[in-house]
Amino acid sequence: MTAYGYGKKAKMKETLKKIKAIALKEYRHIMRDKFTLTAGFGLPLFLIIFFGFIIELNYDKIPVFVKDNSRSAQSRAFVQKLFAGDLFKPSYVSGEDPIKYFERNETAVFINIDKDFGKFISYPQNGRRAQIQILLDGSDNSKAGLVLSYIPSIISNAYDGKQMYKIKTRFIYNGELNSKYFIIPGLIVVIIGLISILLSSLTIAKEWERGSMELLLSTGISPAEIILGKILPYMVMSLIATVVVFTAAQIVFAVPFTGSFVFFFVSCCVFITACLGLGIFISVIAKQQQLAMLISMPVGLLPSMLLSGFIFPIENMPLFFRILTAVLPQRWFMEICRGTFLRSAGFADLTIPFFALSGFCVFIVILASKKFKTDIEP
Amino acid sequence: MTKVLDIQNLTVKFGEFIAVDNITFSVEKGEIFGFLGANGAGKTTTIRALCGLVNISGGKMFIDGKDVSKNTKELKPRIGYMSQKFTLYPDLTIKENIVFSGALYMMSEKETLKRMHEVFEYVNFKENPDEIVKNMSGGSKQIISLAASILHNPEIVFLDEPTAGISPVSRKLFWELISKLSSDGKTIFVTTHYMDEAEYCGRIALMQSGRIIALDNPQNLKAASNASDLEQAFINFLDKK
Repeated sequence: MTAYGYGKKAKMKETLKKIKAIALKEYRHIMRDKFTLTAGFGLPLFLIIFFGFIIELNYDKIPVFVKDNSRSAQSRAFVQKLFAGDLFKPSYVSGEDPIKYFERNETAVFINIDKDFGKFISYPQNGRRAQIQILLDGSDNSKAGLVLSYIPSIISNAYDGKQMYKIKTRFIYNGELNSKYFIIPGLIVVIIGLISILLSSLTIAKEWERGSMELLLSTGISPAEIILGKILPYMVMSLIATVVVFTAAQIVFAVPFTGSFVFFFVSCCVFITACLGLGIFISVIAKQQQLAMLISMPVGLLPSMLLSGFIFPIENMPLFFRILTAVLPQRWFMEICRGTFLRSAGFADLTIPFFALSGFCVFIVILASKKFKTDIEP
Repeated sequence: MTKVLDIQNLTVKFGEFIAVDNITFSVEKGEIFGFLGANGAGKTTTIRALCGLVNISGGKMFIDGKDVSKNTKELKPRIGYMSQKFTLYPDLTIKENIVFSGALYMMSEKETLKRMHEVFEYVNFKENPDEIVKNMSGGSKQIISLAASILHNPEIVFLDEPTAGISPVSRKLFWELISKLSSDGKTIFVTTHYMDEAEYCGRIALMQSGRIIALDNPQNLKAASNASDLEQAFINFLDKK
């Protein structure tokens, strides 16, 4: 016969048994559903490799048009020094108005060397120095900014800092300024967040659509028991996906991990629970799989890409958006992920992000339980 | 006889629409109580209200003297509910579905399976318990649903059109099982479209537009409307209204 009890211990046992039953059922659904399996395991691997390769913030072989009006040995030597590396790909042009090249989008950088460059480069006279003019296409401001910061330092280095500027820059962490080191830990946040939200957003909606929610609710199971039971197997699945993505980051992109594994793992669990809770909240509200999917795609992707600091720095955002990012789990896990990967950070350094993430996690699970309708009519 | 279900002036509204309109009736322990009516008459909504699955707009419902609205969590394990729609999981096997249902009622796997075999044996159900439910006929699915709803030995069983889509032979066995449950002291609350099935009920409530238009045992209903069978009796009552 049924084993219902009335003590606290019996209540807890009852809750755990129900959560276990839901989790086991959900595990069986997952194992028999090709879409979930592919989305859970295949998609993260595909995304990390795909995005890892295409999101490239390093430039090389930027086309540069050079008009050498000096045509001197000094100007040729200057151009040679300037373009010694692989960053730029110079082409000599003559005659035409530089604007025409920009209009035809043939180049983003145009260097105009003054006709007296050869004369003044070694011996400045009466305050006159050798002159070059750099024209940049401001419509591609990331490239323009890069060129603007590179050229003076290259020139400075080329002439031992004597003739032009003397700029010395030193980068700590990611010293090679390899954008992969910056991008890959961020991609882990984007991918795990998206997968967790997407997968869990369908589970409650599926129960409503199928009619099985009627069966569940008629047994007296509580919303919290359903939600926790559903979170568990997806948690395991998302953790496996994290391992896949983490391994890919190490093997394919050789991104170093310098922080605490234990702290990273615990934070992963909290972040995944927060995202699963968010997905389940969407599912509870939407009640239809198609609608849940439509909501979870932008909710899973846009905050990660735009408001988490993944590409655009949070400190440069207007005040409203800076405040908005504070309620996004992706923003806090982004800090934890980059901190543990690149800066050897641990709990002591990332206390605020960790507690903010945990706070969101508790809040969203409670909110989803509260919003869970236990009556089945419209 | 003891009143197990006591419904007083029950009203359920969805916005402006009145699904159940001020109905009052009671059901005795061990009785087979039938709800008859066309689609939209309010039969399913009444069952759902009694199972604590819809919010009521007015009236009171008591199960064993306890107010359903105030004691939902406590009362749910004491009832069994089989929905009109197939509510089990098509991608799970029969056994997995049944064990899952049992677990929600705090039953061990062993006792759940024992009970499942008893029910299946009674209705001569021969499917392999390790078969995935998706591939089964509508009738088989109904039998599995029934088994899932009575596993935990509930005192009251709500069956919403339980025999829809099953073969006449299975239907007969199904009703024999329902009669057995009743003779074991279970109270059965059943809705149906089949007039011949209604004859198995101790009492029948005829429903139309959310109201009960007649309530009595099948013989009295037929006599009161000068009809030779229940179908005619139902038509005569509708005409009177």
